[in-house]
Amino acid sequence: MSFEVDQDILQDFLIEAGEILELLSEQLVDLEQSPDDPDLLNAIFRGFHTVKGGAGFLQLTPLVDCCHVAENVFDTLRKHQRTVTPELMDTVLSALDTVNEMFDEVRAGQMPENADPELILQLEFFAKPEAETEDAAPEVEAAVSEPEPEPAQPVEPPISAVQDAEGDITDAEFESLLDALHDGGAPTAASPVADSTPAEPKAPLADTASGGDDITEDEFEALLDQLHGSGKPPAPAVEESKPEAPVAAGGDDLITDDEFEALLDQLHGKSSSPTQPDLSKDGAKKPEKSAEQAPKKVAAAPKPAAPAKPPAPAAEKKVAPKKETAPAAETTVRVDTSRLDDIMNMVGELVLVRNRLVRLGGQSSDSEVAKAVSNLDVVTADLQTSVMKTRMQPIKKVFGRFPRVVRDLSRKLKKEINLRLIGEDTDLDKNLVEALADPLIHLVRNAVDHGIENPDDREQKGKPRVGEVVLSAEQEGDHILLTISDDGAGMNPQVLRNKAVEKGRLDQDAADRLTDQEAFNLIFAAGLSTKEEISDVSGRGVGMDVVKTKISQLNGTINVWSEEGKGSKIIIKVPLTLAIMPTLMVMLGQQTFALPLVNVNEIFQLDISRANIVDGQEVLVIREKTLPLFYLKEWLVQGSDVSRELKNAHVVVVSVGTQKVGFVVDQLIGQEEVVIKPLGEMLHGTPGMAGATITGDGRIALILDIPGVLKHYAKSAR
Amino acid sequence: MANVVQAKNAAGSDDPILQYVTFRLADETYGINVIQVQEVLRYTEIAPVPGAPSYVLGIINLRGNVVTVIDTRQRFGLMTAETTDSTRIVIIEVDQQVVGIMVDSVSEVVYLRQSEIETTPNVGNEESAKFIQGVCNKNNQLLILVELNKLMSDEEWAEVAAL
Repeated sequence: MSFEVDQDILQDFLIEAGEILELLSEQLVDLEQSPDDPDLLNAIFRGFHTVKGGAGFLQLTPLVDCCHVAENVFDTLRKHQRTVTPELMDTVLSALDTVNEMFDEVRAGQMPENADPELILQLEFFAKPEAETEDAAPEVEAAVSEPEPEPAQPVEPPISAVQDAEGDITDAEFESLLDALHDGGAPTAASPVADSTPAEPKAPLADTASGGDDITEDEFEALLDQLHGSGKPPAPAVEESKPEAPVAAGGDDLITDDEFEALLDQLHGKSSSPTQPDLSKDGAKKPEKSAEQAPKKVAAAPKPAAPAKPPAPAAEKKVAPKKETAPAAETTVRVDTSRLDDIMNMVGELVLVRNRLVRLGGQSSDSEVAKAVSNLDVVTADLQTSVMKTRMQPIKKVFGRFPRVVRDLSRKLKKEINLRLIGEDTDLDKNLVEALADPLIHLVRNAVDHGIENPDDREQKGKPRVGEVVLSAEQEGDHILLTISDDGAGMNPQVLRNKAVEKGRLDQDAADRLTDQEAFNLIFAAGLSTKEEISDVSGRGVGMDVVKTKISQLNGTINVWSEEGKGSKIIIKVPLTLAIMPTLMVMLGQQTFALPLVNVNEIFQLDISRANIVDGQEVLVIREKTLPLFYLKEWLVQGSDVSRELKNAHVVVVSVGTQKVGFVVDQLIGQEEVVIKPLGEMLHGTPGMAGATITGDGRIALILDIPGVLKHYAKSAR
Repeated sequence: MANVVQAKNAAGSDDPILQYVTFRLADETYGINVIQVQEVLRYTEIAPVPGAPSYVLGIINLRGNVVTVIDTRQRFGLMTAETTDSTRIVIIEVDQQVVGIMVDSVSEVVYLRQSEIETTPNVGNEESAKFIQGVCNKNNQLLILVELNKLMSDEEWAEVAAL
C-alpha cells in the first residue's frame, strides 16, 4: 500500500528521523552500560517521541504504534518504576529494528506493515511499572475477572464500527467507544453505549470537542504533550484499531488478563480524542485504576491544566533540555549533496582559471598583477579546502552502529566481547563514510564470530574471559587508516593453505610457496571459509571477497596480519575523499591519460628491444622476474604503431591483484591529483575507462581503469 | 523564452507556434526544438575515447563538466568532413542527458506552426530517416526536424547496423 503525503514533509521527516534512529541505536547500547543515567533515558524517550510525532503527522500509523509503546517503556524506566534488564533491552532493540524496518518501507514509498503484535505486547508489559506487573497482577485479575465474559462483547461492536468508518470517526463516536471500554472495565458503570446518547460523563467531553474546533487536534495534542511532558499524544488515525482487532477477537471466548490490559492500553493510549491524554496515561500505567476513575477523570479533562499534577515534574525535566538543544540546532543547515557537488565543480573550474592566470601573471612584469594573482591563488586554495571540508563527516556515523552489532552478536553467540572505538572523530568524505559501512560491518562480524573464542576456551588459554575488538580510525597523510583488531584465536596460515588446495583454488606446490602474509590474503578469495559450519552470522565465504572488491573500488587497500593464539588485525587504507584521486599522468601520442596511482608500482626506462617473446607475448625480465609488456598506445590511440626498437622507452609497472604487467607509454608527465568526472550516460561502461578529468590547461585526460583495460584489450590482442 | 512561446500558444490556441534552431549538415537544413538546446559552442578540441561507439567523437570540457560529442554526420550516414570556422557543437539536453552534436554550421531560430509540419515521406530504410520527426517547407526551403531521442539511443543504431 503506498500513500500520499507532501514529499517535502516526508523528506524532512526521513532525514530527521533517520538521524534520531541512528542515535537511538547508539544510546540504547550505552544504556546497557549505564542503565541509570537519567539523561540517557530522557534522550531515548525523546528520540522515540520525536519519531512518533513526525510519523503521526504523516499518518504512518504502524510506526506511531511501535514508537508509542517503546516510548512508554522509557517513560516507566525514567520514573524508576522498572530497571533495565537484558530481556528488556532485547525487546526494546527489536522494537528499534522494527521501527527501522518500517522506516525503510516508508523511504521506499510504502505504508509500513503493522508491528508484530507479540512485540507490542511485550513492550506493553515492560511499560508497566515493575511493582504493578508483580503485585498488582492479582488485583487486576480480581477487578477484571468479574466482567470478563461481558466486556468482550461490548468491546467488539464499537471496534468493528470504527473499522467500517475507515478512520472517519467522529469525536462522539470515539468517545462512545471509549466509554464502552470503560464500562467493560468497570462493571459498575452503565451498560455499553452504542448509540450516540451521551451518558453523563460524556457531556463535558463533547463540549470541549466542539468548543475546541478552532484549535486543530494536532495543535491541541502538542499543547497537551508539552504540559504532560510524558507525551502520550493520541495517535491520529483510528485505523489503529486494526492491530487491536486480533486481540479483541482472541479475547472473544476467553480474554486473559494480559490481553485485556493490552487492549485497554492500546485503546487508551491511542485514543485520538485530545481530551483524553490524562486518561490514556493512567490507562497505560494503571488500567485497573483508570477503569474505576474513568468518570471522574473524564469530567476533569476539559481543563487541560488540571491533569498536569502527576506528570508535572517529568514535564519540567523534558522541557528544560529541549530549550538547551534548540539554539544548537539552528547553527546547521541541511544542504543537498548534489549542490555541494556543483560547488565543488565550480571551485575546480576556478582553480583551473587561477592556474592559467598564474601562468600569465608569471609572464607579465606588472607587479600589481602578480600581487593580485598570488592573492587569488591563496584564496582559491582556501576555498577549495573549505568546500572539501563541507563534504567531510566524522567516521562516527559508521562506527556508531557497531556497539549494537557487537552486542547483538555476542549475545547470540554467547561470547563476552568488549568493543573499543578509537578515533571516532576522524573526518572523511561523506560518500566514503557510506561506502565503508558494509565492509566494516562484515569485518566486525567476522572478528566477533571467527576471531574471539568462547569465554571458556579463552579462560583455558589463560586469556581474560572478555574478548576485545578494537576498531580504530586515523588519518595518515592523505589517507585514512582503519584497523579492526581482535585478541582472539588468530589464523593459522597452514590451515588456509590446505583449505585453498582442498577447494581447488591452488595446487599444492603453489600453496606451499605462499608466504604467511600471502596465505592470510587467501581469506579474500571467493568461496573460501574455514568455518566448518555455516551460520547466519558468517561462514559462507562470500563476505571477504566482497569486502576486498568494495575497498578496491574505493581506491583503497586491505591487509591482514595475524598471529595464531594472539589475534588478527585487518588494516584498511582508503583515500580521504572519493572525489580526488592521485594519478600518474602519461602521454600517448597527443592525448593525456591518467593511471590511478594505487595501481602503479614503479617506472622504468628500458631498452625494449631486449624484450623476449614467450608464447606470443612480449615479456621483459626485470630483477629476475618476467613481466608481460603491453603497448598502451596501440590499444588506446587509433592507428598507431609503436616501434619495438626503442632504446629508451618508458615502462610503467602496474599491479592488478597479485599480477604485475608493464605498460609502454610515450611520455611521463608526472603525478597529479585529479578530480574524477564521470563519463556521460552514453559512454558509461566503456571498457577500461574509469572517468575523465580536466588537466591544468583545460584539456581532458581519460582516467584508466587498469584492471578493465587489461581485461578488455589484453584478450583481444591475443 | 518559454514565456514567449506560451504567449504565442495562447494566441493560436490549437495551432501552437514552435521554435526550432536550424543547423546545416552537408547540403540540408535541419531543425531541433529550441527547448532541447542548451547552448552552441565553437569547435573545441575533442578528446577521443578509446572503446566508445563509433558515432561518439569523444568528450569535451564544458566548464568543468565532461560532455559527450556525437558525430552527427556519421549518425546520418554522411561522409565525414573537415572542421571549418563555422563548425559548431550544439549542446542539447534529452532525457536529462547532456550531449553535444557536431554540425557544419548553425543558422538561426525559426518559428513554425504545428500545422506546417508534415510527417516524413517514407523513403525506406535510409539511415537518416530513423532520426526524423517531420519536415517543413518554409520559404521554399526544406527543413528537416530531428528527433533527438532517437539520435542518442543505441537500439536504433543497432538496427541500422544490422541491415
